[in-house]
Amino acid sequence: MIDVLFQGLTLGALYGLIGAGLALNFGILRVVNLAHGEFITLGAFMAVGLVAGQAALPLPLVLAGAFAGAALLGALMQAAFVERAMAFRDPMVAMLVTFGLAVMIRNGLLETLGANLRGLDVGGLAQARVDFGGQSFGLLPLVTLGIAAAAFTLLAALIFRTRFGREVRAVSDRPDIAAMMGIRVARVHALVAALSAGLAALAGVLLAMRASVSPFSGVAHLLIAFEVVVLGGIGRIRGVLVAGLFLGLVQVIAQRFDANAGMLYVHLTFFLALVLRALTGRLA
Amino acid sequence: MLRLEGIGAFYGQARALDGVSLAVEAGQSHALVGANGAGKSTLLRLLSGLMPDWRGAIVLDGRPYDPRHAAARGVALVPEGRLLFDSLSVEENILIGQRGRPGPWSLQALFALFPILSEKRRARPADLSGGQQQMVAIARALATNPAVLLCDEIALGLAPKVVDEVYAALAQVRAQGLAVLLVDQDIARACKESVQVTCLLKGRISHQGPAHGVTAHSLRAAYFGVAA
Amino acid sequence: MIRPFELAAVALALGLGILGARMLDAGLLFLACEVLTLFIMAQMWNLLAGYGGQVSLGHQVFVGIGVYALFLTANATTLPLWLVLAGVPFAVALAAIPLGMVMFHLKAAYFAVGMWVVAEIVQQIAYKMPFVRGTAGLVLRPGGQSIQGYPEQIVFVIALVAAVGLMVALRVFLRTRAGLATLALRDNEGAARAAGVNVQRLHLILFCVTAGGCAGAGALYYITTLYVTPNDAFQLNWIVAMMVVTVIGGTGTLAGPVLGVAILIGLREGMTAAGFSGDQYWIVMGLLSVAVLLVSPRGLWPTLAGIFRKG
Ligand SMILES: Nc1ncnc2c1ncn2[C@@H]1O[C@H](COP(=O)(O)OP(=O)(O)OP(=O)(O)O)[C@@H](O)[C@H]1O
Ligand SMILES: [Mg+2]
Repeated sequence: MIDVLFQGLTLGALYGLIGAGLALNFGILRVVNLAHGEFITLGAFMAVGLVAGQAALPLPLVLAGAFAGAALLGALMQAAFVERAMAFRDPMVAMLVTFGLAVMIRNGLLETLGANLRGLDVGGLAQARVDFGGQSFGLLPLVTLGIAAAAFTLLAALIFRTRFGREVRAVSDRPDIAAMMGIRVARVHALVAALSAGLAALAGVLLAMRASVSPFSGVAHLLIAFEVVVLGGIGRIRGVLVAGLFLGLVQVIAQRFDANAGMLYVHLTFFLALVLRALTGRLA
Repeated sequence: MLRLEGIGAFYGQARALDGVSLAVEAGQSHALVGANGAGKSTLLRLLSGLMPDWRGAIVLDGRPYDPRHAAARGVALVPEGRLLFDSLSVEENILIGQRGRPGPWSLQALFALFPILSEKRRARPADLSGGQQQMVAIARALATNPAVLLCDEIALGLAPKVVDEVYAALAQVRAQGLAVLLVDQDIARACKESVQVTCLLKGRISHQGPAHGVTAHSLRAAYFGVAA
Repeated sequence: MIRPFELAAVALALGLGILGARMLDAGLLFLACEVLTLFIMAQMWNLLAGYGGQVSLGHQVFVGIGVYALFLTANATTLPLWLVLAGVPFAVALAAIPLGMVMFHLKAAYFAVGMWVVAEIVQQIAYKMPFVRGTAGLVLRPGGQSIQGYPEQIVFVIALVAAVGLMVALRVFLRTRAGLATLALRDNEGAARAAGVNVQRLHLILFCVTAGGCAGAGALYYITTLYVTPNDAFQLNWIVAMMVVTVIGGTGTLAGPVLGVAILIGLREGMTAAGFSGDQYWIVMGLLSVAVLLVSPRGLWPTLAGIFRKG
């Protein structure tokens, strides 16, 4: 039972991480980024590529590389396309633009890498176990959990403790007044998009260490990210983490009873929660 | 200090300002009055870079002024309705203004100007009284160390005692050499604080002159646009 | 009400359909069926998103439901296939009512994502149903008999009449009171509400109509393939195609999806003939949608129509 809980928490922390990236987009740019799932895949594939090129590369560098690559692409995408779409009165235009970008990235990945599943080879880490309080834990999940926890802590510190985070929240509250005060709003948007894409890539690397990914994985991951954000609340980092952990637990527990349930029970749980909230009027 | 020549402004097809010219001097206040919808807020928003569609010429410190660079050139707005950053604390709201323009308005100086804000520095705007919120809005604008301060209805909805407090602070600000463009529904009050007064009527200037002794009664023709 | 030339258009479609079914070879007929059914689906998505303002990321669920409703009913009963086909849109539209009553509590992005989750749930439940036969797939055998002859000939006639009929029906509909309310909703939801339009009821009607339309078009399409798996029927590509077609062609205009389908299929056939891969084709389509959205956010048709009117 403890093992199941532990697995659920590990998976949930990753879900929280992809949700956190999307929440930044949703809460601060007010754009539903349909390309978010592609950054998760992109991160995984960049890590696979890095390890293939340089097998001895330490994990922190792999993570940093994937983060940086995705962040750069995310910022470029925001500055070149999404920012312009945000100028239109209808917020759906920006969402549809990210949809077009997602189609491009996904098929770009298919074109260059093919549709095959790929996993990230982490060597002995996958089998290693550590004993803790009379209980044996896999080292890989522990590392995953640690990295996810660190990412969340850093994100919260960045948003709530730094000058940049202050400007991000100001832009989120009132972009026009923020611009008037001299904040370069488009620049903040690009940086937030970079951060969001980077977090997605980070989660993508960690997911690829657990299970294989293909260019088609992005769509499924995007859906989870959405569910996490909607359940956790936009702009609430802690809520997003809790929602991620919850959905991770649901998935792992459901799989114990029905081995090929996939994401069915996660989706059902989410849908019930959504409907319940809609019916009680607690939905923006 | 700040000179406006033949300013026009548009909301889509609708013209909100037409041929407005006025000047604001350092260390002085210029009262901008007029009925609801006369265009007062529009003019202040224009000077702050919030109106994309405008005509005319603006000169600040002898150099042409582009409102899109308001913060860098030292023009700060205390907007109508305060428009604070709701998810930032009082202190963070003020710190947003600090963007490297040198000047006297450090956090300490602003807390000295509004001591109550020092006590409430960790509070959210939603937990403050109207007067305290207004003080945050003024402090946030001053934190940019502006040369020109644009004040839009800073007394609206405040108790008389609080209005006096706010205007006392504004007098201290002027003493530091700032030019103030002051919009207030209370004509007598605005003119008492000011050296010059401009009255707008449907986007055009209907009266301009010294502010000394001007009252709502003496301005009623310009204000309502009827022969008195 | 319906105008003479609109009636003539439907009659002409019927005539051309019968003629075309006899003259065109099987490959062309197959392509034509795909174009027409895709057009109907895109027009449905356009009706809900472009006019109703409700962007759905989950309308592929109705395609899948429509296909399985047809295959399962036709295989298990002795009812004529075309009668079952005629019943599918109505049955699915009715079945969509309870879902719609839940979904229209959700706004904007919540609706979009909520629909997508619904589609995922239905697809995964479909997998688990023994009679759907999961990845093994289902063959269309009306009344337990294999289909004789060439169903795409009849499908082509039906699809052409349905597509033209849909255009006419929508034109007629937009002239009615409810249609005017829909136009008001498209232009400004707040104003429409203020003018007394019952926005929720209108959303529900549009939701059910578009559900039925997608189901009918899906069922029609899969009669030409005679075989279906959940992976295929519920695939995301359906909604991707509906969206790309509408976004490029023109949202909130009846002609937009016509133009969009022409571009989508024209480009696909052209690029395939020129030796490009399917992935490359979709990269181009993605780029095209982004470019169109940034230059003309309502799609190409309104802009082109504007140029013609001026020119
Ligand atoms: N966002 C807007 N879009 C269109 N028209 C506007 C907008 N804001 C203001 N207006 C119009 O511009 C004119 C000037 O408005 P403005 O807010 O500048 O007036 P004001 O003098 O500040 O009035 P008040 O005393 O009510 O604050 C009014 O006719 C108003 O209706
Ligand atoms: Mg005003």
